[in-house]
Amino acid sequence: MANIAVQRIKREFKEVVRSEEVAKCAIKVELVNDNYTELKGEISGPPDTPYEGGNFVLEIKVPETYPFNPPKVKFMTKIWHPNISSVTGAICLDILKDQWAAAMTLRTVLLSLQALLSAAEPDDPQDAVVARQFKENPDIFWLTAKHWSHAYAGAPKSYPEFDAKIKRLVDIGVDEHRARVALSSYNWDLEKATESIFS
Amino acid sequence: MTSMIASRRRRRQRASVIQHTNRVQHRLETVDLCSSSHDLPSCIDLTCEGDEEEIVDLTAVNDSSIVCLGSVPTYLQNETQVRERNLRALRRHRSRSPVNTRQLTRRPNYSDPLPDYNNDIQHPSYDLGVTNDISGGAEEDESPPRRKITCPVCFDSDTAIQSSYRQLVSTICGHVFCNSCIYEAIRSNHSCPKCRKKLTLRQYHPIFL
Ligand SMILES: [Zn+2]
Ligand SMILES: [Zn+2]
Repeated sequence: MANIAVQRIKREFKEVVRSEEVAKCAIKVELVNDNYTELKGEISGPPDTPYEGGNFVLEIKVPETYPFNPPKVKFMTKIWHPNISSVTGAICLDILKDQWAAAMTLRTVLLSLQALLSAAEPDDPQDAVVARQFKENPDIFWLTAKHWSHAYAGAPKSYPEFDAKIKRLVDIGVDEHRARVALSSYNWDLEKATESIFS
Repeated sequence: MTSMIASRRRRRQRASVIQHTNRVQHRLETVDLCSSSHDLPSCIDLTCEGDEEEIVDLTAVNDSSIVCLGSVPTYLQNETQVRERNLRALRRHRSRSPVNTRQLTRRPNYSDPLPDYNNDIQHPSYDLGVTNDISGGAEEDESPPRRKITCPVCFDSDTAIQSSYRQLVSTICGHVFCNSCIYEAIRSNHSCPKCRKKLTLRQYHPIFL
């Protein structure tokens, strides 16, 4: 990797580790390999969001041309959010694309992602199904996102009603995650979700 | 018949006038209560003019939040400048021995009004990546705090930049970088790495500090 990219990441790594957000356990970054090309980020779900109490792991890949090009970031933890793919974890955020600037850092990226969890932009969606639910059924969206935070990010609160519906599908041989995706996509309508799985 | 209606209307009008005056009196009474502050020990007189010494400048303690007590000229209301002002006061307070002339470098005097050309462009901030190193030390007590400038792209300090035969440059939007970083940034992104203003390779120049 280019010399400047490695040097920058090394220095940023120190910056993030010393930052006050780390002290507050809001963000975290770890090295994945010794040559600083891949890192593991972590952000905590912001308060007053359905992600509260959850920890979301991010894959951060540093390109050779960093910092003149943005890092490639995606969610490793499954999450229900209009701007994040529930399938791949791909993120739709301007600063990770054309709005990147070389003076931005890992710290600003992680904080921006945390801000994205607080303020979704359904008109610029990454996941069309989630974005539609967000707009048309905000209450169901909130509960679904909270349910996913519990199932994948370790957030405390669970919904027995949702769990029961998932169990109904698991009992007839459906994979748990697949059941969760189908039910979430059909606003927890068991009949429609079942139909979508077996059609 | 008509006179009866007229008198009734008059009466109603009078009644409303009385109601109105009642309301006014009511309001006046309230005002009256408030103005007699000696009767209300819980009342805090905010109009009293305290001595200068009693004003605590909170900006000197916590430089992340600016609290301007009293009027501050607009050109001083930038965070960096306010910090600089506090640091100068601190420096005056700390340094007992005369300034070491060897250490003197030309640095912008933030207490002076900014020259006109700065007002031509809309600046999102004056963040030059400038940090003031005032961490204690016997040597630093005798000289002004060292002003550290770092390139916000490669994070190199001005001394590291100079020793590797690079130069500090400023863009027309007023942001400072090392010449190799701004060259690379404009070539790949055609914009300022700090504020994203569209830039060409002709829109930056060296600066001498
Ligand atoms: Zn540089
Ligand atoms: Zn700029």
